[in-house]
Amino acid sequence: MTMKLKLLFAFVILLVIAALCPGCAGGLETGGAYAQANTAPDKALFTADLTFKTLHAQLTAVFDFERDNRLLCWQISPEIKHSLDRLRPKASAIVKEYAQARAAYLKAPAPANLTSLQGVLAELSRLNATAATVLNPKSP
Amino acid sequence: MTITALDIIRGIEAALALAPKIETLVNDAKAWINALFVQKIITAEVQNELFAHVDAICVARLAGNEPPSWKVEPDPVTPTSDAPSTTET
Repeated sequence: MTMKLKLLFAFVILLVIAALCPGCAGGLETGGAYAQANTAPDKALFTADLTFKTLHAQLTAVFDFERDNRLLCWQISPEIKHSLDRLRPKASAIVKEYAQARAAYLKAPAPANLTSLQGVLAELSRLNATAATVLNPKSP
Repeated sequence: MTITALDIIRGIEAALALAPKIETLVNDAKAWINALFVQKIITAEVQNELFAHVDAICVARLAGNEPPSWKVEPDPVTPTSDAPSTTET
């Protein structure tokens, strides 16, 4: 499972790199949500949303796993639940921050708003990494 | 509380149950990477699907709604196994 999580993180990093490399990010078909007619395609928002979707799904998988197997995890160590309980409110706050930053960017797609969006994503990525180690800690 | 062999087996089964979900996420990410670098064009349908998906999450969170597993719930109550015996013969 650890290798697969590492692979997933590598893909997320690759997506972020793709956002910084306009020539590599592929084309957005005109008419889509990120490439409206008569406006420049917004590859940065597309990549940000794609990264967010992946990170959110991964976090949900970790939280779901602990909740669905709570008694077993508790028997192994109460610290599994307690560690994730420390992360849960932080994760919720960061996701809400992303929602607010995204709304601000959609209203006014300025570079400063995009930077805020990407900053929140970096925070979410770090929290994801911490959550993953709770279920699969390194052996001493 | 001692961990029995059955608990260990259940733990392994639970981990194996999670593995396909992770694999799905990895395959999903692979498909998106493929769209970015190979297919060259990300169709309007794919864009709209992604936008709607993220939008739904954001709208829900701004309204204060979140999945149950994201909420902090009380610790499980487990019965004590080492209560002293009060009967004497």
